[in-house]
Amino acid sequence: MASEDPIVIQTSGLTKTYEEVQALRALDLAVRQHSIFGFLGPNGAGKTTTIKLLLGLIRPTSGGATIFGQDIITDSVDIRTRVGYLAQDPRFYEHMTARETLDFTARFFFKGPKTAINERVEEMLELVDLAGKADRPIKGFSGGERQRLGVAQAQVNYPDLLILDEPAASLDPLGRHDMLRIMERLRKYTTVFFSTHILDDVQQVSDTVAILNHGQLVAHGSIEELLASRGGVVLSVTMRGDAEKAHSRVASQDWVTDLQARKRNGATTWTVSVSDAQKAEALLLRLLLADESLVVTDFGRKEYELEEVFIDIVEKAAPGSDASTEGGSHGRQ
Amino acid sequence: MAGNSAFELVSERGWRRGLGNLMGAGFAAWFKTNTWWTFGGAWTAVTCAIMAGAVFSADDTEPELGLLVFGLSAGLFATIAVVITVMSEIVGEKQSGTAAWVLSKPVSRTAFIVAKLVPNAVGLLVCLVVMPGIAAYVVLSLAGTNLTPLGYLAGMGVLSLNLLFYLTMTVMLGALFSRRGAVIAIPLAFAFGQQLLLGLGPAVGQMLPYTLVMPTSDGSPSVSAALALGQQPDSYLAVSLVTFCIVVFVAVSIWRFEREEF
Repeated sequence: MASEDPIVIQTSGLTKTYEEVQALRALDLAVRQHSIFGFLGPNGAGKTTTIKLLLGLIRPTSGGATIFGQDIITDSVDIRTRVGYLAQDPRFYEHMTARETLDFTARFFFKGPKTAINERVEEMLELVDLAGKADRPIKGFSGGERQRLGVAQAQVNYPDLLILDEPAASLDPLGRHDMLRIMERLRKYTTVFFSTHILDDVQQVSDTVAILNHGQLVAHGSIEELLASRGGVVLSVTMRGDAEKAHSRVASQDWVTDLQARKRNGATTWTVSVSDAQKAEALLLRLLLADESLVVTDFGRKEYELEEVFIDIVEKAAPGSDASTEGGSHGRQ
Repeated sequence: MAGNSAFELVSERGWRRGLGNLMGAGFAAWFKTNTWWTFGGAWTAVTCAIMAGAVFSADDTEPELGLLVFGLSAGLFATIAVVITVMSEIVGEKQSGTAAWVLSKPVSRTAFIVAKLVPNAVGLLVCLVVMPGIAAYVVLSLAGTNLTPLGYLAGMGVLSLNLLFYLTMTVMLGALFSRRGAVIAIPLAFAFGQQLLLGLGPAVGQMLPYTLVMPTSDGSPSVSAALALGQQPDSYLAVSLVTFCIVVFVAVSIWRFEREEF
């Protein structure tokens, strides 16, 4: 994905209210072509609501959106000719077999020829490893098998945009791995917009993410931007011995902005936020080693995971929090 | 949709988008399975057995008796079959999530409703009117009832109209409600509760779908029976009103379903 790639999804003040509840508040989002866009948020954040709005399954209370430049309300059916969708809990006609389901799905897009449709169905069955169960009724399928069938039916038309709502939620680790590989492989053909709780998956495959909380966009940017948005440098040091005396000595340094201590298995780990990285890296270890009762077992800059950034952003944006809803450098695109 | 050059793309536009595929699936559910002949065969056998018992056991068979039994079967009891069969079509799909899945594809909501109405109407009419109707014609003819083929066809048409009334009403209720209780209770309560309304006077009776299939309280044959016997019905008012209601029910179903949120 490059910044000059055309925008596939553009939302503008997209809002959905159910009676008293604001499920989605003025969402402004841009998803570029060929990106794998991770849409994150805790339960009830509004992720599925957004997806349903994009697909025309529900109508916005205010605001709007375009997909491929077409309006999601007036051009919904046309948009869906170019979209593949996997629901969070995919449901199909139970009496149909996997093959019949894929054939039924394909025929919403293609009239024929029959041989080409059959070939596409076979290709999809192979892709999700369901060829051996292709002729069994879906009512006997496990959750994982239904999910894989969901992936297959979402791709049967080779969509320009693939919208996946929690695609790996009910998959085992191998299934999840396969799912991520499929998404990576599809990047050059399609744009993938997926919601998930599994932050590790997002970090593995996404180039852009948006974090939603209580229906509000709280962060939007590349993974690198979000990880960098923590601001300042944080050092991590693990030691054995009585760290109490050293604690006050280190905390009083003018370059220390925050010091969090955590004890585990007889060792103490400090997370030290600093304003001057050079000074901190030069002095912190000396300050600690001045106390001969302490044995430092680990020292270095802390590498943040997306999960930590996510929790931090969501907690800061929680109702009643003083923090801004648009945190740090999480600029909207 | 890169990579789809080998395919002939669906050309339906507007409200017809997805209609062909949905109709195909709807008709396949009836006629590419054993549903139609087992259901229709069983209904025909039971109807004709009761009719034969009535017309051949009576010493002085009146022509209306056989048609009364047929009216009961294809007009009144068939409404139960119609309501139960159609009940799940909309509300069941809303509850199970399959409607949302189908509508995430390039399918218009109008096409979704039409594809529920047409295959089910054809399937139910074949099983509940056409198959037993043909068999009943044979039984009644053997019993010496003087039927005119065209009149009999018109009578079957009126019976069909009556079932379409309940079919479209059930689909409409499925679009309006999210629970099966109301969808099944209202049409059945109406179908069997009309007898209470007949007491309000002949003018009211002539407006009810009941008079299409059952004799009125003054002993006049039903509209369908009168037509089958080549007679002039007392009134065509019920035919007009039921036709009007069917149109309204379909329009409301489509209107409501267009606004449904999944």
